[in-house]
Amino acid sequence: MSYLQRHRHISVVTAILPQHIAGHVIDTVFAAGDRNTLLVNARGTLRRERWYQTLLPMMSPEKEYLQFLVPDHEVEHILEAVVTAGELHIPAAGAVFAIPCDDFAATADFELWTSADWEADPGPAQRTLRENLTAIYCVLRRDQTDQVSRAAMNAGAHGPIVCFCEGTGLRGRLGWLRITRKHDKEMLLVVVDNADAVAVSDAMVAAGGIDAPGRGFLFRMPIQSGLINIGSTFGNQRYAASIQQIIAAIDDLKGGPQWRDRRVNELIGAGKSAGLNLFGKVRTRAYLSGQCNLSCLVGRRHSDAVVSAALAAGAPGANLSYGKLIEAGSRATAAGIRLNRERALIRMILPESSRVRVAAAIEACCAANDVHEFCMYSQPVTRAVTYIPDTRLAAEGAAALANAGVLGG
Amino acid sequence: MFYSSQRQQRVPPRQQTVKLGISDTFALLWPYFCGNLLEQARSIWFIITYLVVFQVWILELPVSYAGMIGLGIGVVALGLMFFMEGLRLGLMPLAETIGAVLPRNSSLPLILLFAFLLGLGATFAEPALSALQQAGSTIAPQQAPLLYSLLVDFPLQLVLAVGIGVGLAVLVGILRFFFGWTLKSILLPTVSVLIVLTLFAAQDPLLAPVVGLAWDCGGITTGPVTVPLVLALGIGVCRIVGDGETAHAGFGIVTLASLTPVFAVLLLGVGHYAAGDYYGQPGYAGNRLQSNGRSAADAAPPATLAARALAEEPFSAEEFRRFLATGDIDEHYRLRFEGGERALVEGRIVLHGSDILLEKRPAKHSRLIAPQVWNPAENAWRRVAEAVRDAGRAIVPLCLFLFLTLKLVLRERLRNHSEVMIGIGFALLGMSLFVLGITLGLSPLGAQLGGNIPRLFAAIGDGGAGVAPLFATPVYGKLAAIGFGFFLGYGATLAEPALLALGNSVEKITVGAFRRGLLIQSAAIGVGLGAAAGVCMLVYQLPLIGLLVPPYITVLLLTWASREEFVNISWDAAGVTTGPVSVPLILATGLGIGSHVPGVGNGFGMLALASLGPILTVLLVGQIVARTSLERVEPRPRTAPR
Repeated sequence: MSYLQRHRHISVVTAILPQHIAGHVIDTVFAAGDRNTLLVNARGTLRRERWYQTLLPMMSPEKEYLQFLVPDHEVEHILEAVVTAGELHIPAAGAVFAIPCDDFAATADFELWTSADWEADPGPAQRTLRENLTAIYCVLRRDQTDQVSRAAMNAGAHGPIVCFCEGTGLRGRLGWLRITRKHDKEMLLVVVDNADAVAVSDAMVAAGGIDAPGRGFLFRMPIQSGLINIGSTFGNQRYAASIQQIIAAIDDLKGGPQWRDRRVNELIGAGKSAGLNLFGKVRTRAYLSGQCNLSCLVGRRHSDAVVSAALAAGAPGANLSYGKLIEAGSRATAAGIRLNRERALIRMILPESSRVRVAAAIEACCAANDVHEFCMYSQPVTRAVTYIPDTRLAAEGAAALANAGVLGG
Repeated sequence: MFYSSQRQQRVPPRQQTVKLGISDTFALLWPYFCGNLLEQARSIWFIITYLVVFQVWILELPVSYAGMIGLGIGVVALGLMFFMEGLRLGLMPLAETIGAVLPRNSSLPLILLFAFLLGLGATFAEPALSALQQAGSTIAPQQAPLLYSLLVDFPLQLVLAVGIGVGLAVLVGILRFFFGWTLKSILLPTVSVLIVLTLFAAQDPLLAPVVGLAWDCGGITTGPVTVPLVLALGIGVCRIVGDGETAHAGFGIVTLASLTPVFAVLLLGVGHYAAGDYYGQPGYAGNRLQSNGRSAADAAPPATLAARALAEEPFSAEEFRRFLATGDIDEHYRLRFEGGERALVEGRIVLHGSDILLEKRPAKHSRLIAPQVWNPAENAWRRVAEAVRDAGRAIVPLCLFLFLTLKLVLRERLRNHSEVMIGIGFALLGMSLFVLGITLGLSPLGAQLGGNIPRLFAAIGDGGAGVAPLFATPVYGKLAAIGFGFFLGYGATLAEPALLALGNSVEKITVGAFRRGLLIQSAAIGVGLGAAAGVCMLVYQLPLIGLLVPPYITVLLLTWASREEFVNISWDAAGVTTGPVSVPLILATGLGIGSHVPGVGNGFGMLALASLGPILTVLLVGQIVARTSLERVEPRPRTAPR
């Protein structure tokens, strides 16, 4: 009898909403049954429109990053509910998307989503959902965020969503010298069209020097379906519609954003398709494949134990972000403010080959420490980038990487 | 698949700790040390450079005790570095953990008790409050008998009153969060009542001096230990509560904690006024003050010391011999006639039998540094002991209280225990160094400069005859003094550790959406404006009430019009700006000007103005930010959220 119970057909639905709408959306989704969600504070990125304003720092409206763990058959209903309650069809309103899990395991007391009896048809929002999307996650040092955000936006992405996270690396293992470690990592999230994914992630890797030692890492995950309407410019109020609304309208007319494909105009990188090759040999980036994203949701007090168990079992690195677990039935103050519990979301990018070993180590750790209300799931990662110590090792893949322990440093 | 057949036989229990050699340890610590020191140097370089440049180039005076001051400034930077690291590693995680656990795991009365005790304890820990008591010994009891009695005869009552005020403030802050009251709804009535009370008290000659004390107590209680602790509790609470819009629950307590003591002290004053047991009344049972050496040394800033040294520099015997031998004399001298009879003879003034005096006049720009590098009256070891005692008193009891709460009441395990311990050690060391550096470096420099500021517009020296004003017309001199006040307030605020901590907290809670630089800069400009207004008040002898009340009414209107989050942050910014760096500098300037302008007794009103400024500027900046960005970017939900 294992400590964790396996579940099938679970998806992770992520919603990115402006702060003042999040509460309303949560209430709407919770109204259908006994629910919970993980909420992580985040910020958006907006660029000013005028050229002279580009010298000013970018604007960062506050956002909420919501994560629901949902059975597959309810995903469409949840997407529908979030889109309607958050009015996500408005340009720059927010985003929602679903990524299915390969595996899902949880302790017996972990509260899973209870099914509700939705109306048979998910409703009109389904027509606006799109399927050919890729999520790009990028973890890097805080002082690089602006640079990488600009690069991503120049390559055609929306303004990245940023949240704080902690990395684990060599400095965590130094005894009292741990004091030299600073928790100043940030995680960027960009969701782009599959066609743009390579260009955007290449631009981000180049801007942040992510394939240089000790910089961070980037990975891409395929999205099953979603609606992305995140703003990227803040601008001119002299016209009846903002440039953002105009682009959204043309997207609508064209039936998608393919018309925005900029590969032809790019002089570097993918510009080859226009017959231009100004800088000689185009550098190809060494992407790692065959990786997966193993995530754990655990109380803050046990997060260190879980992470060190995973690292000891060969996970190359982990990054932690902290959020509130919002539950429908949780205690509230007289003013109706929920008193939630804090949860750590641990993300580990590791080779498929070592997943079983790491997962087993985490389970053993949970059993040994009597960890309650824990869950663990893995999702496919199509490509990942980080520093690879030697090009010969790149061919051998991440097995060597795991030993070098450079991921997430 | 997670659970395939190939389960590992051996799972290592703990991750290996890496051991480093001496050179590697050094390689790791050195950049850490340098980076942090540089960061603090960036926050204090402006005020230091500014003070020295102003003294040497504009006032054209050498810096006295340069060795002591230089050492002191180095120690300030070092102290700030250790203290900020101590906050990051030790004090803030400790308070944050409690904030994240307490609201969910305890009952409301227990939380309220904790809040009250924390406020009370923080007040007893604040070293500035004891300095205020020592300042009491400099007050002439005949001029302000009630103020004198409060400070000298009832110091414990005073501290208790302030402590209870702060305790209640933290308690109300918690209640506010539990019942969802907005800060606005508390601030508007409180401040209005406070203004009316102040106006009322200012009419009475006995109570009027107490008004200044009351407002100063409000500013002083929110110091560099209390503020980060309270903010960290707030961050902790924010980690667990609400779902979106309640993200600013952590702020506002500092504001309340700087308003309630004003009430408490005013009430205490009124109580003793009614009871009639203050100095000079029949019910007076107090004793003479028991003076200790420190109060006298602190109270008298070396105001005109540098100026006097300049006027009295004599010719040496060597120079006299050279004069006798060659008739040569240093070109910097002044001819003066003393004694004799003056008569008007045929339209000419004739002096009979006068002595002709040649007096040495030092060259301008003669030197940057006065020959005396150390103040002989300063005993460095005694200062070290005092600094360590103050720091210990500020940090140790509070940390013990938090630890006991965590262990005994909440039974929560602390993450990274050893790190927190190192952090508390750092905070202790940093606070000691910081206090020491301020007494040795920043305070004497500010006092020298503050004492000499009147030279800009008035003749100072013995009997007004010593040194002529630097500016021919007093208007320009006064304008220069006002400009000096602005940059003094601005620079001192940039170095204020509590404001740095507030900036970090704001950035942390809003995930960087509200940038730290914007907040610190607008608060610093606000303090600068306040200090400039204070100098203006002194040199033109304007009434304090006139300068205080209209801006407060403006602030109230702005508060009413602003968004709740900006109200929270800007009022908190005002509470934290008057700290250990700016208070001595602003006070020294105020006292220096006050002692040379007839009819001005003290510079105490400047502090009140300096803490009013940042509320105004941060609220204004908030208005601008809100107008230009947030409302337009994000669509509002058509269906109203809860």
